[in-house]
Amino acid sequence: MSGERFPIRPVLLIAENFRGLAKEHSLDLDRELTVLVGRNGAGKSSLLVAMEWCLFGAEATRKSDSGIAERGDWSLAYDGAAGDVRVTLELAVEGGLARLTRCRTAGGKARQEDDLLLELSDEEVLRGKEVQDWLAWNQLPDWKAWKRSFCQHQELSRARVTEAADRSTAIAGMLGLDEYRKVSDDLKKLKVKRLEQRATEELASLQGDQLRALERPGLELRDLENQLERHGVAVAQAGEAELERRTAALITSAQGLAGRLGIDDSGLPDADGPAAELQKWAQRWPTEVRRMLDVLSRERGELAGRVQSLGASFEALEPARRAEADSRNVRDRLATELGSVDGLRGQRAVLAEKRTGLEAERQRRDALGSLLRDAVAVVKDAQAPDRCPVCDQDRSDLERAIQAKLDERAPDSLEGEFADLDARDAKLQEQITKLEEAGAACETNQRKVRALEEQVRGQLPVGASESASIDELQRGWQEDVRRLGLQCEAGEAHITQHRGDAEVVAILAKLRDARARARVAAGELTETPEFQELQGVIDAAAGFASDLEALGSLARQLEDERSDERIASVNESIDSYFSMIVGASQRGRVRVQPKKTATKVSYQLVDERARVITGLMNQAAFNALSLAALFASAESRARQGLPQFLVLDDPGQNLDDAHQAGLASALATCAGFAPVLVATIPGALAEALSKADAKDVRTFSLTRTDDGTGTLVREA
Amino acid sequence: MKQETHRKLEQMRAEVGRDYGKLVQKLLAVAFLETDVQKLVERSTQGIDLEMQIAGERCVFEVKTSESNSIRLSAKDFEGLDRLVEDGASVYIAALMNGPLESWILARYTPGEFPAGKDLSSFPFRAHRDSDLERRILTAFDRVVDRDVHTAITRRQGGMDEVLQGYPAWGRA
Repeated sequence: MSGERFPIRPVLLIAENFRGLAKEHSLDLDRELTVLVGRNGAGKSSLLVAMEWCLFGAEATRKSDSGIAERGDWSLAYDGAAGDVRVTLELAVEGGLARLTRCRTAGGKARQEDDLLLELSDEEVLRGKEVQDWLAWNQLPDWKAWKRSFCQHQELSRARVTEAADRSTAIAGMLGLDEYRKVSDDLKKLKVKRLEQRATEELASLQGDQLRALERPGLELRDLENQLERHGVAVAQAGEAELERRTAALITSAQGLAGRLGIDDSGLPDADGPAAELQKWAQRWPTEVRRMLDVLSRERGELAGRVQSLGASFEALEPARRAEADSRNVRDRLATELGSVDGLRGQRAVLAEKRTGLEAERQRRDALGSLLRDAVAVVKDAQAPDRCPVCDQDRSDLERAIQAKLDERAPDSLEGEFADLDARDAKLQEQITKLEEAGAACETNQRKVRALEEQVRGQLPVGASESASIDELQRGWQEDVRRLGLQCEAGEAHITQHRGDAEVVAILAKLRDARARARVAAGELTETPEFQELQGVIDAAAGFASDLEALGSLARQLEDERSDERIASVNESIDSYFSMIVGASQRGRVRVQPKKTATKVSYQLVDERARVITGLMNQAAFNALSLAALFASAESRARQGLPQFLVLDDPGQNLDDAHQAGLASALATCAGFAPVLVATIPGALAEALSKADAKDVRTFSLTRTDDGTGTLVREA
Repeated sequence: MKQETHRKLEQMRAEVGRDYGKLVQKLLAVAFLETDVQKLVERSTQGIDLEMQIAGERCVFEVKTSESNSIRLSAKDFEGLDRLVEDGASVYIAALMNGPLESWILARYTPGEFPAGKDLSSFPFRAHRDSDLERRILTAFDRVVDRDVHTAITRRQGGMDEVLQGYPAWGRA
């Protein structure tokens, strides 16, 4: 709010492809009062709005942000334009010029971020957010301030006097209370009371959560106590001592079982160890025992199988042994009866020799027979058939003698001997065969017995003495099987017992933990760091709320004091402009009336009898009052050294010629404080403005081009 | 404040009825006496319940307990407190709301900070709480309630006065 600042003001506007403006159009704004005169559709509003778009971008063009309903469907680009939409506003700043350019690339969407560029006189170039920061730093208006104190839109012309919030804000601006009002409004938006209410509700909710958290250990305790009761453990006894007693007994039992089953008991916990460890052990241990019992059962099954197999082998061995003995007896008896095979074979050799001798005799006899048959033949062939030529014996006698000799030596006489020999040899052979078969049977049985014995030996444990009685071995194994069976049964019984005990220990261990948690929850919750932190946060929120309250009070107090100081000059200003427009007879009719409550200061416009003036006005007076408020606001800001310029779009609506002449005077007066850009149709206001008592006026005439593609801007 | 302390205070509230506020005030006085206060006096004037010397400073307390979660101070209460501030005393509002997780809030009083005649939650007092002072009495208060609540329940104010008289720093106005 310093009056030392250079009053920034626009000096040149260049618009290209913007709404009704095809191609590039420029407009000098370096005069106090710039007047645009043109018929409807000439492009006046497009030029004015181009300045708004350049300064505020989407905020000025969207329905929701601008607060102007008809801007919801706006097309930013000139219909048919192929190039970028670009608007440049040249500002006179301390030490030179600054060029503010906003550009939307061809085809760019409304939600797309526009390019925003600021070229400063020292050649520094700012972009985007830097530009917005620069504008705010130099106190150029935001959109709301613009609507309130910089422009006159046909759509919004009366809001500054009819809407309570807008009116109060506008008048606060005239009073130079913008900052206080802003603080006051911001604080109102922060809703300190709601903050307090919210914090209190949150605290209550958190406390509810904490209470429920407190209940949980209690419920858990009750559940555990019920479980213990179901195991027959009295809840009253279910204390530390009971836990330790049961745990110690269970662990001792577990150690015994572990020893019997061969389980490593080094993992067993101490009876007075941490509850969690006991719980874990109690849950794990039955599984471990079960695993070892499974191993034992398997061993027992294997051993029983071996016993059975050995028994079967042994049963098969006995008949084989008997068969072997029988065959040996047969063999020995035959040997006794028939002699040895070798003796029989010797007898057969003797018979063979005899046969050889008989064969020789047979050959000798055959030779003699042949000789005798030759002799007979010779005798028969002799000349003297009755007499032997050799011995001269009677041939008949001789033949008889020879025949007798032949008969005597006939081979047939040997056949009987041969038959006898064969019979004897066959008998011997038969006896040999019998002996050999008995021997072979004996050997077969022996081999069978040896094989079965080998099989039994294969089932014996390595190193077992072959001489050990298989019966004894089998009995030992059967004993082992029985013992393993008993061990398994005992293990099962232990597991059943342990399972119950372990469950009790687990519940007791949980009970111990739950009690500890319940104690912490019940007794120490408020001392936990988290609770302390929560308290700290709520305290800080309370401190913040208290500070906001104090700040709000201070802002209201200062606003109150300053408004009292300055209200007279604002009354003078607004009344002066109003009477300029509507006529001197209305002088002294309008004044500002502050309305103070404990929490805020609001402003109303009243007449000389303190009646709300808007309720008494016709349409023209409404417009006049709105414009008067705008001019008074602009003058006030300018007097405070703040950047100020006015942009008015056809402000003469609803005003008759006399009022329009008054408006022209008011505009000329206001232009003495802040540059004014006003657009109007040809008529009373335009004429009045051309004759207005302004020192520095420039009027432009706007017409559509013949081809309808743009606007011609010519200085009138 | 410990839950056990709350439980005992609730038990006391159920048994003593309207005496509850006064008995809590006396228990708080005992707790202060168990810290290093130099002199503690019980008063019954408007705006003062307890007055004590802490590290040479005159401190006065308006003790407020609640059956709900809010307390109310009347315009007369504030007038009394304002006078005490003008007299140069350090003025505190000692508030104990009724909630299982609530604890004493010892809020330093500044004129104009709190509205009169309105139900106030603990929230506005939190901005002005004297945490150091609260820490001084917190453990002592748990201990005192644990020890003396039976006396308070069975023998009411007379019994508590006897307890208070046992402290050299205690004096009746």
